[in-house]
Amino acid sequence: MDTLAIFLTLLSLLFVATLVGLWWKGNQGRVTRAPSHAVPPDVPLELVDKQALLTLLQFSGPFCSYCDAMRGILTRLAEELEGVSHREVDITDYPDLTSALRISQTPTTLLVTPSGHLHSRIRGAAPAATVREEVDHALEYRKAHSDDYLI
Amino acid sequence: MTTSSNPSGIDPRGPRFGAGITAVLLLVVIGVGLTNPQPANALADRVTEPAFVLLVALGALFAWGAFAGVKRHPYGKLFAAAVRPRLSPPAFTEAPEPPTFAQLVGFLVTATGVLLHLIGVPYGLVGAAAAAFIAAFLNSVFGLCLGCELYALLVRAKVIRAKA
Repeated sequence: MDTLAIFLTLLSLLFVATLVGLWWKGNQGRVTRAPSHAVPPDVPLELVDKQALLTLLQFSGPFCSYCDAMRGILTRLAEELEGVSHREVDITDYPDLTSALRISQTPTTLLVTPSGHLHSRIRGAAPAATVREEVDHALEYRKAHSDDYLI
Repeated sequence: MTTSSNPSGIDPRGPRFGAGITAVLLLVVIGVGLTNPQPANALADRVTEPAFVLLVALGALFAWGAFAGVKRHPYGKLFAAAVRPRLSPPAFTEAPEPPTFAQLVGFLVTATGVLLHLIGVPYGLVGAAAAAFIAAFLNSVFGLCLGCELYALLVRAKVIRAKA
């Protein structure tokens, strides 16, 4: 190979790697909101805090760069907000659930209702403000819906 | 059930610094390797080709990180001695397992390249170095641990199972 061809090969390798990186970065901390009413519920009740309005269920793994950081954000939020609880599981211990919930990266955080239903999902590590916004929304949604039962 | 919080957390910028050096060296391997992608006919000549020698050295460095731990790796020491003192404290820490696992994946990929070159496969060395380069580059520039993403996907595909 001549020098120009080698240079162009190296350049395209850099380009492809940059595209992959930008794509990943764009998906980090992405929030999907899809309140579910599935029967049976999405999440087994043993993983949900039934006393709380909302459980922040964090899926971590033994090899996870941002799980420690996400744990910090989520535990602080759970301490700060009444009715919000943080739970954490290792995906290795729950392969069937990981597969059923289509969890393909760690950390993934699910916002779960006391009945085990999904409210939203946060893929990867998200800034504290993003998590806060989604939790606030979920709490309002939950409160609005629990009023329904009173009527 | 829960992954324990890690008091022995490390500065995530350390492994990223090391991955940056590795990425540049891998780019050199690929560049040099492409000048002569066809391995020499005689085994004695193959093992003295510059790209091969450099990739063996990089493989040894990966093994160092994978089996002795990233903190004891020369790049980790260099980061602690020369770079860390010039930076502000990290916003968060990282468990040492992910970068160590990444080193193991890097070792396996470079070892594959070394093996392919030894048995005389054209572009084997360059291909493996390119794969390792992409992983090291993504780690260094974007903070993405490719091996870690792979682990989650393998659990989801039920290839990895918890010990019963």
